[in-house]
Amino acid sequence: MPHETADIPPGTLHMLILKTLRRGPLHGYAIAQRIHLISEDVLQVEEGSLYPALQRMLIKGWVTADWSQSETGRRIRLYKLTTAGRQQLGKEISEFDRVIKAVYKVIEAS
Amino acid sequence: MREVWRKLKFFLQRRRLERDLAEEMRYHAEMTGQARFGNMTLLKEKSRSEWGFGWLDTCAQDLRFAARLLRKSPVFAAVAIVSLALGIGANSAIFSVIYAVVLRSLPVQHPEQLALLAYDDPGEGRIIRSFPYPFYKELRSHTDLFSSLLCQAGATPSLFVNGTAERVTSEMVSANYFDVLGLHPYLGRLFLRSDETSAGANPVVVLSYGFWQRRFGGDPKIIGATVDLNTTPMTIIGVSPPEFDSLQPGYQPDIRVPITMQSQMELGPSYLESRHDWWLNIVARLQPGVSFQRTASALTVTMQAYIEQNYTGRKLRLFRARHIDVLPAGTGLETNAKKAAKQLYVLMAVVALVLLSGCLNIANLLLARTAARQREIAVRLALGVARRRLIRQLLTESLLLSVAGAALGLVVAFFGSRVLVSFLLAGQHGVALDAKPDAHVLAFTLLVGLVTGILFGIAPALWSVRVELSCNLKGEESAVFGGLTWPKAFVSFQVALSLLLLIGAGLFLKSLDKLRTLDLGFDKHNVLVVSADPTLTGYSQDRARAFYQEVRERITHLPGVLSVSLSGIGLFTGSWGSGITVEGYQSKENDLGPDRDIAAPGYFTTMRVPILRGRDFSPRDHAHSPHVAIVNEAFARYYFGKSNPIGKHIGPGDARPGQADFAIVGVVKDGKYASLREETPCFWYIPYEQFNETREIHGLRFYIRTVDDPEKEAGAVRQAFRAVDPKVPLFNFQTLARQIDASLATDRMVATLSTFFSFLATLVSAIGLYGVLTYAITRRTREIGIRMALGAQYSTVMSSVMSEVVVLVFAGIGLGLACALVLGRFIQSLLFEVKTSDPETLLGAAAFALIVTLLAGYLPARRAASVDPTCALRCE
Repeated sequence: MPHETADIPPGTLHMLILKTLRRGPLHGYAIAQRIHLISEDVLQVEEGSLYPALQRMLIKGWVTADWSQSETGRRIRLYKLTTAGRQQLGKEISEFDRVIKAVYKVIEAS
Repeated sequence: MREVWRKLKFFLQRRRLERDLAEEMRYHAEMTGQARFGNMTLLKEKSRSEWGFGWLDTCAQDLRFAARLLRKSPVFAAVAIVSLALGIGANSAIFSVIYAVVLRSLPVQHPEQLALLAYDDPGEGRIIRSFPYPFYKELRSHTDLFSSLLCQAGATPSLFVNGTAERVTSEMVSANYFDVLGLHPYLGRLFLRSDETSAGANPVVVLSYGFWQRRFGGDPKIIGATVDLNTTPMTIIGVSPPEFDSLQPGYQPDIRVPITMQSQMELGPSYLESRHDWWLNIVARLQPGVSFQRTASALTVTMQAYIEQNYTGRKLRLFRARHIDVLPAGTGLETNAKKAAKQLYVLMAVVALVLLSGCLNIANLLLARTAARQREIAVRLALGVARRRLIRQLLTESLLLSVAGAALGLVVAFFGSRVLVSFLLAGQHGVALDAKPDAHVLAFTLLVGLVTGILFGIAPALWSVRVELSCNLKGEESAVFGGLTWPKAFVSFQVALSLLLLIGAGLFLKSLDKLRTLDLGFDKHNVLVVSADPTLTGYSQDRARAFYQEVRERITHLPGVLSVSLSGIGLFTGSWGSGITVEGYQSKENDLGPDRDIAAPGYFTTMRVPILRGRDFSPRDHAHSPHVAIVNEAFARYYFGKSNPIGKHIGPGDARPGQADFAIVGVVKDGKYASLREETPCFWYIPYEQFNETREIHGLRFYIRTVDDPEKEAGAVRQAFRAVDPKVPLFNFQTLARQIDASLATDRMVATLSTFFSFLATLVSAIGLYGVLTYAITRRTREIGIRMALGAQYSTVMSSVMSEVVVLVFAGIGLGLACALVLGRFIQSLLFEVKTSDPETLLGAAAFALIVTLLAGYLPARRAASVDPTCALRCE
C-alpha cells in the first residue's frame, strides 16, 4: 500500500457512511471497503467504530438493515438509506462544508 | 419520540439483533482475516451500548439481583410480602367500594352532563329532590340550559303472572328516560314519546335485564305478553340493557313503566295534574358549556314564579325561600350506599394508617438488613460504584417487595370488597353493588404498591450509602446506626398511629353501643313484623278491614302469641308527615307539623309503650264511634304546654269542617319512630278504622308479640294468613329487633372494621418495638456484658433499657393523643352522643397502647438484663 492511512476526522463517520449508502444498499464490510477505495486508501474505517456507528444509525432511523444473499451465495446484512437518512446526509454535508470553509479561512489568514 | 419507540422495539428483539450483529461481524472477520479484526467481544459490547439499552439493562440487572437476594432470605421476604399484601389489599378493597359507590360514572352517554335538581328547604332544614309533575312540564321549555329533561319516581306494585303475585320494585319514568340517557333496548323496544300521553293511558312495561332473566328465564317470547300490575293489564314491550341498573348505583328496579301510570302503580289518586304534590325526581342533561351555577339561578326564578302562582298565605311565605340546587349526577343519585361515603373515607384513612405503620416496620427491617450488608456496600463503593446506582439498586429491592405485595393484595381486595359490600347492603332488598376490582382498582393498587415501596425503601437506601469506607473495609462495626435514631423515631410514630386508631375505634364502638342500648320507647324484643296488602288483589277498603280483623283473630289465638296489633307506616320504615289542626292553638310560622300513623286496638300495649295518661285504642273505637286520638309527650308538650291534653280535639292540617274532631284519649311516652338518630318528633295516632280522608289505606303492618323467639312463630303466622286468603301477598317478614338492627349496618361496619384495624396497628407497632429493641440489644451485647462484669446489677440494666422504652412509648402516646384531639372533628358527625374528646375513651385507648407496647419492650429488656457477661465478652 503506497499511501499511509489516516484516521477518520471526528464527527464525519456518519456522513461518510450515509454518503456511501446513497448509491445503494451495502453490507458492513463493503461500506468500509468502499470508503477505503474512494478515498484512495487514505481513510481506513475501523470495525471498532463502524459497527457501533451502524447500530446508532439504526436507532436514529437513518438506515435499515435486511438480510439477503450475496453473489457468492453468502448471507449478508445489507444497510439501506432511509428518507430520514437522506435528509440527515444533506444536513451533515452542509454543516461539514460550513466548518471546513471556516477552517480554511483561518488557515489562509495566517 | 419515534426514537424511543424504536429503542423499545430493539430492546424487545435484542436476542435476534445480537445474533444478527454477531453473524455480520463473523462475515466481516472472514473477509479481512481474524487477526486484524481485534477484540470481538469488546466490539459487540460497544455496538450493543449504541442501542441505548443501558438504563433498561441495568434495571433488569437490579431486578435479578434483588430477586436473588430475597430468595436468600425467604422468611424476611415472606413476612414483608404478606404483611404488605394485607395492608395494600385492605386499601384496595375499600377503594374499590368507594369507586363503585362514589366515583364510578353511570354507564350512560356523557354522564358528566347529567344534573339532579334539588332545593334547600329552610323550613324543613334539609335537601329535597321532589317536584310536581306540572312544574316538570313547565321546565321542559328551558332548552337554552339543558338539551333534555327526565323525571322518575319509585313504586312497588304487585305483579301477577300465571296466578301468582309478587311485589316488584319499579320506576315510573318519563317516556324519554332511555333516550336522554342514550340507552338502547336489549330486546324489543324502550319507551316512545307516545308512551306518555295522559293518566292511565299507557299500559306498557319495560323489564330490567336482571328481572327478565330471573323471573322469565330470559325468554324472548315474553315481549308482547300481557301481565297484571296491581289490577291493570299491561304489555311487556322490551328489556333494558344489562349494563344499566338505574340512576342510583346498586339499585336495580325490576320494571319501568311510564310516569302516566302512577295512579295504577300506587292504587291511589293521580298526582299528574296536582300542582301541590312534590313527588318526582328531575334529572337534566345540561347543554355543553352551560354551568351548573347558571342553571341553578335560572331555575330558581322559574320555581319562585311557580310558587307565587300556586300558593298563598303561610305556605307561600315558607316556600318562597326555596332555592334550586343543581347537583352533578354523573356518578348517580344518592343512595344509602352513597350516604356511607364519609364512613368509607374514614375507613380508607384507617387502613392507610395501618399500611403506613406496616411500612415503618419493613423500613426498620430493611435498615437492619442494610446494616448487616455494610461491608458489601462499602466494597462496592470502594470499587467505584456510583452512589446513585447503589440507591437505585436498594430501591429496586424494596419496590420488588412492594409490587409483589400489591399483586397478592389484589387477591385480598377481591375478597375484602365482598365483605364490605355485604356490610354496606345489610338488610336492603333489590340492591346489588358490583365492587369487584377492575382496571381502576388495579391502577390504584399498583400506585399504592409503588408509593409504599418508595416510602419504606427510601430511608434505608439513603442511609446505607453513607458508609464510612475506611472503617468498614477494616471490618469494624461503624457507628452509623449507633444511635438508632431513625428506627426509634419510627417506633414512636407507630405507637402514635396505633393510639390514634385505637381512639377512633373506641369512639365508634361507644357510639354504636349508645345506639344499640338507646331507649326506643317500646320493647323491640320478641316481636314479629309482617306487612300484608289485600287491596293489591282487588279487595275493597271494607273487605280489607274484615281481612285484617280475621287474620288478627287467628293470630291472637296462636299458643305462642301474646298479642297482635297493626299500624300503617310502622316503625323504622319512613315517616308520614301531616299538618295539624289543634283546638285552641294558633299555628306559628315555624311549625314543622307532627308525624302521624294509624293503629289498631291494643297497639301501645302490644308494643309495650308506656301510656302516661288516659288509655290505649280499644275495639270500641270503630268507624261509627266518636273519633279518638293518642299523642306522644312531645306533641302534648308542644301544643298544650303544661295543661292536660286529654279531651282536646285535633285533626289533619287541611281539615275540612268535622274532620278536626279527634278527641285525645291518651298520652304515650316519647320514642324513636323512623330512625335511631332522629330528634323526637311530635307524633299522633288515630284508629285505622276511623281514618276518613281521601287517601286510601294500602297495606298495614302486623306487629305480633310472642312469648319467646319470634322466629319460631313465623310458620304459624304465615299459616294464619294463608287460611284467610292465600292470594294476599305478604312482605317484609322479619323480627322487629332485626329490622332495627339493619339500620345500624353502616355504624356496625365502621365500628367493627376500625376495631379490627386498630388492634392490627397496635400489634404491628408492638412487633416494631420488639424488633428494634432486640436488634439494638444484640448490638450492645458486648457493652452490656462489660457493664455487668464491672458489677452492674440485673435491675440497673433492666431500668436503663426500660427507661429508653418508656421515653419512646410516651413520646408516641403524647403525639397520638395530640393527633386524636386535632383530627377528631373529622369524625364527630359520624358519632352518636359521643364527644371525640371523650376522656374515658382517650384514657382507655392510651392505657391499652401503653400496656401492649411496654410488654413488647419488656421482653427484649429482660433478655438484655440476663446476658451472661463471660459469654458476651468471649463472643468477639
